[in-house]
Amino acid sequence: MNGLLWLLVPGAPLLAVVLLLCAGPRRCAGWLWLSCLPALLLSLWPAEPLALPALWPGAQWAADDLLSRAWLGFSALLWACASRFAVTDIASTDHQQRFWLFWLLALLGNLLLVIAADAGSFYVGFTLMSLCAYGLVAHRRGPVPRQAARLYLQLAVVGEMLIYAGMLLRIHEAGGALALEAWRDTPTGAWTAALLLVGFGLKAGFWPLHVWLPLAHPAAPAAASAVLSGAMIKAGILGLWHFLPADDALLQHWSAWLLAVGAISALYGVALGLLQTRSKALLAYSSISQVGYLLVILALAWQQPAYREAAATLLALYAVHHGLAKGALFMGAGLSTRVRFQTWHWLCLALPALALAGLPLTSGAAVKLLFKEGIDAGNLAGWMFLLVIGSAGTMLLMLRLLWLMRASQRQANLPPMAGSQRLPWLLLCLMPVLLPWLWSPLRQAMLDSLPLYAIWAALWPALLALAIGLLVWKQGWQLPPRLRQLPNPARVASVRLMHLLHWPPVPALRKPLDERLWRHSERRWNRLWQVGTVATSAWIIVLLLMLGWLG
Amino acid sequence: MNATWTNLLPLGIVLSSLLPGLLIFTLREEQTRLRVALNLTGVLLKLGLVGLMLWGVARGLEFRFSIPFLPGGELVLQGDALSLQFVSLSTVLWLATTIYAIGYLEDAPLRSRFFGYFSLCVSATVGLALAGNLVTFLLFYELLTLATFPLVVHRGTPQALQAGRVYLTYTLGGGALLLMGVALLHSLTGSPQFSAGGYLLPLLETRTPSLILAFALLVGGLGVKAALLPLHGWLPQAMVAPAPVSALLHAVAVVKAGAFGIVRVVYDVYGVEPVQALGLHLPLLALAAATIIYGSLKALQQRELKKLLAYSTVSQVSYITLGVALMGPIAAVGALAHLVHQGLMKVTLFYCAGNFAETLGVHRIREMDGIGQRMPLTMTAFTLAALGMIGVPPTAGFISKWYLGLGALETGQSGILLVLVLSGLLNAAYFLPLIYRGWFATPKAPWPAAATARAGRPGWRETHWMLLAPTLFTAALALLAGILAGTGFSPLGWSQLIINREFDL
Amino acid sequence: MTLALASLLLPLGTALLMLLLRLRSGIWVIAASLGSLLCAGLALHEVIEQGVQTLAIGGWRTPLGIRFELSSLTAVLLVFTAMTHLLVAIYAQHSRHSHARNTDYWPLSGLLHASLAALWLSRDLFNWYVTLELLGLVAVAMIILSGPRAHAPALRYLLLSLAASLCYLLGVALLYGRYGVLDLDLLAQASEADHSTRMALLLMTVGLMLKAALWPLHLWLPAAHSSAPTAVSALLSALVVKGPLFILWLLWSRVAPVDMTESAGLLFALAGIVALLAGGWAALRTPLLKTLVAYSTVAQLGYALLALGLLLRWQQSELSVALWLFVLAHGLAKVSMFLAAGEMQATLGSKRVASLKGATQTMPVAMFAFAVAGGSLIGLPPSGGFVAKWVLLQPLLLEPIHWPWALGVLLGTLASAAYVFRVVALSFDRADATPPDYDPDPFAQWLALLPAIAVWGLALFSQPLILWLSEASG
Repeated sequence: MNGLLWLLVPGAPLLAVVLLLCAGPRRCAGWLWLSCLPALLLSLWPAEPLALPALWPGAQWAADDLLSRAWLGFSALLWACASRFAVTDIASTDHQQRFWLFWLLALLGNLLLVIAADAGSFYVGFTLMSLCAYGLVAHRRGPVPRQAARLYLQLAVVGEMLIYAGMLLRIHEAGGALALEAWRDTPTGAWTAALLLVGFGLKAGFWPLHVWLPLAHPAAPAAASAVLSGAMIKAGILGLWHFLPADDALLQHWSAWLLAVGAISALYGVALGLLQTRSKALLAYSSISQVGYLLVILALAWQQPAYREAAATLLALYAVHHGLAKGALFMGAGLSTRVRFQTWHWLCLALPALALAGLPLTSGAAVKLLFKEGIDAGNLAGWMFLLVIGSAGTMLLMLRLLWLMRASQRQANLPPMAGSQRLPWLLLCLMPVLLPWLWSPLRQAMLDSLPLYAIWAALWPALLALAIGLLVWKQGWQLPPRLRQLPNPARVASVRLMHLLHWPPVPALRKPLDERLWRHSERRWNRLWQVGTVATSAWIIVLLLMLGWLG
Repeated sequence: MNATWTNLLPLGIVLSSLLPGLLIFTLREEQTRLRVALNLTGVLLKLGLVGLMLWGVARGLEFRFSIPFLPGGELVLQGDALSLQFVSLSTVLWLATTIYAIGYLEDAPLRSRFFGYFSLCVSATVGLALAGNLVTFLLFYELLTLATFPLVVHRGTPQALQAGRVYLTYTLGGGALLLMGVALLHSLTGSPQFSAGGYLLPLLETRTPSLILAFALLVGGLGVKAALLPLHGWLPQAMVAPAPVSALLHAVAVVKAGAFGIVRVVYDVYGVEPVQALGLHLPLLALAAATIIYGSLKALQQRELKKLLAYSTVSQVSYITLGVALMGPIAAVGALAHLVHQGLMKVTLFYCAGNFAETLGVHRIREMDGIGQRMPLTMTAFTLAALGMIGVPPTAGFISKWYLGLGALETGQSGILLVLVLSGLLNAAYFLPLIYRGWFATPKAPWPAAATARAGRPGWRETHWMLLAPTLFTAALALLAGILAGTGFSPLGWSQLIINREFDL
Repeated sequence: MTLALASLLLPLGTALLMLLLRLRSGIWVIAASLGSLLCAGLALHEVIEQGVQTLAIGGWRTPLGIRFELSSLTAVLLVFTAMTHLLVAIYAQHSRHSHARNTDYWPLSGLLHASLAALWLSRDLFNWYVTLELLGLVAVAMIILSGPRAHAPALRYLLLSLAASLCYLLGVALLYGRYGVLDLDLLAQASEADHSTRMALLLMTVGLMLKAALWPLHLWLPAAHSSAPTAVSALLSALVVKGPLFILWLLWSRVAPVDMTESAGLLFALAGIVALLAGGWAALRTPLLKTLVAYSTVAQLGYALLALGLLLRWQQSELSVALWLFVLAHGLAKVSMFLAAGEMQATLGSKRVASLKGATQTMPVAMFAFAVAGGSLIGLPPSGGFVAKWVLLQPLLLEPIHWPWALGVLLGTLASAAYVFRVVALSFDRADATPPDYDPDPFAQWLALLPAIAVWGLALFSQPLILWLSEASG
C-alpha cells in the first residue's frame, strides 16, 4: 500500500502547478519549494516499488538502491533550495507565472526520471525536464538568452529523438521488456549504444557535446543555472547508467575511448574555464569538466564489470557532491553581482569551491579518494597524473572564480542579502562539509581520506595551484584579448538553422497553361464541326454505309 | 433477418445523425433553438447508442444489420471492435465539433444548410465505420465526398470554390478508382463480410494480377482521402473551409476515412498473409514514409497557420498507413491508436487556429507573437496538441510513435525508425517556433478589442465559451490518451484488443 | 395483356379526343397518364405472376398478323413511360415556365406516349417503322412549340429523322424481300449470314442510330433537345431516344447472325466509349445549361451502346440487364435534370451555365435535384446509375484481357463527374449570386426532385429489377 506514496513525488509539483494557476505567483511562489518535500522524505525512507499499469506501458516507480536514493535526495534538496532561492532571484522580472510553470514541470520531470524503474517513465521525465528547462533558460529578455535558449532547445530536441530511437532499439533488444532492471543484462548493439551515448551526452554536456552549456548557464537566472548544472545535466549520466548494460563486450571495447573523452572533457573544461571573464560561464565550463569525471566513472564501470558496485557508490557520491556544491556556487555567482557580500559570505562560498577542488574534510576529498581507487581498480596508473592535473586545474579555476566574483563586487550601491535567499544558499554551501558527517557512505570515504599521506596527496596539487595563482596575481598577468573572445561555431550554426527554418527555400511556382491559346484552338475545333448538322450527319451516314458495303 | 435490438442498433447509430440532419435542412434560418436542440439530441442519442454498442462488443455480442442491395453484395452495417474505435472517435469529436460550430457560426448565414450537411457528413463517416463489406464501405465513402463538398465551399468565396473544385477532382477521381477496385474484387468473389485475416487467400494463386490491380486501385482510391503522396493536393486547399469543418475533415471525417479504409482493406479484405505474399506492403510502406517526410517539409514552408496544420495532417495521417504497411502486430496497434490520437490532437489544433482567427483575426504564423498572454488557455491546448504531434511524452502522439517504432523494429524495417526520427525533428522544427511565438515573443501591436459576444480577458473568458470548451476538452483527451494509455478503455488498449483478434494472438 | 393494351390506348384515345374536340387542358392528359400508369403497373404484376404474354392483333396469326408481346422488360418500360409522362404532365400543367398551358403540347404528348407504348409492345419490323415515324414527327412538332427560335433545330431534326426512317424502311424492305416475314421471332429463326441480311441490318442500324442519337450520328440532338420547351426536353431525352435503342437491341441480339454480331459488337462498344468521352467533353465545355444536359444524354447513351456492343461481342446476356438499367436510370435522372435546368434557367433568366451562381441559395431544391440526378449519371452509389455501372463492370473486370474496356468506363465516369460538378460547384458561389427574375416556384422544384429521388431509390430496388430484366433478356 505504501507504494502509492510514490505518487506524491510527481503529484506534489502538479498540485503546486494547480495552486500556482489558481493563486498566482505573487502569493504562492514562496511555498513552492514544499513540492520537493515528498521526494526528499521518500529518499530517506523509501516506499516499496509501485507498478502503474494504468499509465503508459510498463510504468513502474521505485528508488531502492543507494544510487537512486542518493540521486533523489540530492535532486530534491537542490531543487528545494533553488526554488526558495529563485523567489527573490526573479522577483523583479516579467512573466513570473510562466517561469514558475516551467520550473515546476522541469522539477516534476527531473524527479520522475530519478524514481523511474522503467524506460517509459524515464523518457517521460527526461523529456519533460529537457523541454521545460527551455523556459528557464529563455526567461530573461534579450538576444543573448534567446540565442542560448534556442541552441539549447535545438540540441535538446535532437537529443530527445536520438534517445527515442535508442530506447526503441533497446526495448527491441530486450525482447519488449521495459523495466530498466531487465536491461542491465541485455547486450546492446553498436547503433543503440551510439545513439544513446550521443543522445544522453547532449544533455550531460561532456566534450564534444557541451556546446550549449557555456551559453545557457550564464543566460539563465542563477537559480535555474543551479538546477540545470547541479541536477539536470546529470540526468544524462543517469540515463546512460540505466539504459546501457552492465557487462557488455561492446562497451568494454569502447570504454577506452570513453575514458579518453572523459579525460579530455575534464581538462578541456578547466582550460576553457580559465579563459572566461564571467563567473557563471566559468562555472559552466567547470561543469563540463566535472561531467568528464562522471563519464570516466561510467567508462570504468563498463571496463571492469567487477568494479560496478563500487562505481555505483562512487557515482552516487560524486553526483551528490558535485550537484550540491555546484548549486551553491551558481547561486553565489548570481548573488555576487546583485548583493553586497560580507566576509562570512566569502567564507561560506569558499566551502563548495574548495570541496570541488578536493580539499580534505570536505565531500570533495572523499570522492576523490574513491575515484583514485577506481582508477587503481582499472589498472590505469598512467591516468593518475591526469587526475592530479585535473585537481590542480580545478583549484585554479576556483581561485579564478573567487577572483571574478570579487571583481563583480566592485560596483557601488549593492543591497544587502535578503533573508529569503540567505538560508537556502547557506544550507547548500555548508553541505560539502556537513554531508560527510551526516551520510554514512560519504562519511566512510571521508574518514578514509584523513590519513596524512592521503591528506598530502589531496593537498599538494591544491597548494601548487595556489602558488601559481599567487604568482599570476603578483605578476599582474592579464588574459590576452584574443583568448577572451573565442569564436563560437555552435552559436553561428544555431542561428543559421533558425534562419533556414524560418525562411526555408521554397521552389518557384510552375507557370500555368496558357489559357487564351487553349481557348482559341478549342473555338477553331468547334467551328470545324458547326458547318451543318445535316450535312455532316449525311456524310457520316454515307460513309458508314459505304464502309458496311465494302467491309 | 429478424429485427432484434442487436440488429437494429447499427442502423440506429447511423440514423441518429442522419434524421436530425435531414430535419435541419427544412428549418428556417431563425429557428436557432430548434436547430441546436435537434443537433444536440442527435449527438447525445448517438453517444448513448455507441456507448451501448461498446458495452455489447466488449461482452462479445454481435451487431449486424443487413438489407439486400446488389447481387452478391448486401448492405451490411456491423459493429466490431475496429469499427467501434472509429465510431467512438467520430461521435466524441462530433459532439465537440457541434458545440464548437454552434459557437463559431453564431449569427453567420446559411446555418441550416451547414448543420444539415454537417450531420450528413457524420452519418456518412459513421456508416463507413460500421460498413460490414466493401460495397457498403464504397457507398458511404462516396456519400462522404458528397456531404463534405458543401461544407468545404460553405463560405462561397472564389477561393472556397476553387478549393472545392480541387477537392472534388481529387475525391471523385479517388472514388472512381475505389469503385473500380471494389467492383473488380466483387467480380471475383462477391462482397462477403469483412473478416479478420481477409477472404482472398483462396484466390491467391489463380488470380494474382487481378488481386494486385485491385489492391492498387483500392489504395489509390483510399489514398486520395488519406492524402498519400501524389494524391494529397486537395488537403491543403480544403483548409479554406470554416474551422469546424477543417477540424472535422482533418481529424475524423475525410482523411480518416481513407486511412480506415486502408486498414480495412489490408487486414479484413486481403489479410496479412496474401499482402505479404504479393509483396504489396513494401510499395505502400515506401509511399507512406515518403509522405510523412514530404508533408513535414512542406509544412515547414508555410506561412499560414491552417495551411501548416493541413500539411502536418498529410504527414501525420500517413503514420497510420505506415503502421498498417509494416504488417506486424505492434505496428498495427500503433497505427490504430494513432487513428484516434491524431484525431484528438489535430482537432484541437484546428479548434485553436479557429479560436485565434475568430477572436483576434490571427491567420498567419507571424501574427501569433505573444498570443499566449491574451489567450492562455487556447495556447495551452495548442501547445499540448503540438507537442503531441511531435511525439513528446507523455502525450498521445508519443504512444503512437513508440508503438510504430517498435513495430518497425519487430518487422525488421529499421529504416522506418529513421523516418520516424526525421519526422519528429521536422515536426519539432515547425511546431516549436509556433509555441515559442505564442509564449515567449512579444506582440507587435496591441490586440484588437474583441467583439462583445466573444470578448474577454485572458482566461476563462478569453473567447466564446462554446469555442473554448471543446478545445480544452479535446486537448485534455489527447493528454489523457497518452498518460492513461495503459488502461483498457484508452485508444491504445482498445487497439490492442482489435489487433489481438485480428492477428489471432 | 389487356392491361398493357389499356396502358397504350388510354393516352391514345385521350390524344385523339383532344384533337377532335379541340381540348387543350392538361387535366385530361394527367388523368390518362395516371390511368396508364396504373394499368402498366398491373400489367407488370401480371407478367411477374404469369410470365410472357403475346397478343395477335385482330386474331390474325403471324406471319400475316401483327404480334404484341408483353415481357417483363416491356412492362417495366411501360411503367417507366407512363410514370415519366405523368410527372412531366404535372410539371407542364403546373409550372408557369413550361410553355405548355393551353397549347398543342397536350394532344402531342398523348400521342408520344401512345407511340412509345406501341413501340415497346411491338415485335414486328414494320409496326416499329410506324411507331418510329410517329414518334419522330410528334417529337418535331413538340420542339416547335417553344417558338420560332426552335424552328431551325426542329427542321434539322425532321430532315435527319426522315432520312433515318428511310434507311430503316429500306432495311425492312430488304429483309422482307429476302425472308418474306416481318415478325421478329420468325426472322430470328430464318436469318442467315448473307449479303442482303448484312446490308439490311446495316441500313436499319444506321437509321436507328440516327434516331437514337448514338455517336457519331448524334449531331442533331443537343440543339434539338436544348431548344425544346423544358417538359418536351425531358420527354425527348428520357424516352424518345430509348425507343430506337430498344429496336436496335432486339434486332441485333435476336435477328443478327452470330458471326456478324461479334464484329459489329466491337464497333458498337468503341463508339460507346467515344460517345462517353466526346459527349462528356462537349458537356464540360459548353456555355449553355440545357445544351450541357443534352450533351450528357449523348454521353450517357454511350454506356448503353457500350453495353450493347459488349453484349454482342461476348454473347453475355447479363449485359442487357446493364443496358436497360442504364436506360431506366438515365431516363429518370434526365427528367429530373431537364426539369431542374429548365426551371432554373427560366427563373434566373439566362440560358448560360454561369448564371447558376448562387443557385444553391436562390433555388436550393432545384439545384439539389440537379446534383442528385447528376450523381446517378456519374454512378455514385447508391443510385440507379451506380447499379447499372456495377452490373456492366462485373464481366468487364473478371478477366484481365477485358480491363481496357473498364478503363473506358472509368474515363466516362470521370468525364460525367466533371460536367455535373462543374455546375454544382458554380452554384455554391455566394459571393456573386445571380438574383432570380421571378419568385422561385417550390412545387416545380420538388417535382424535379422527385425522379432524382426515384433514381436513387432504384438502387434499393435493384435486386428484383435485375431479376425481371434478366428474365426478359434471357
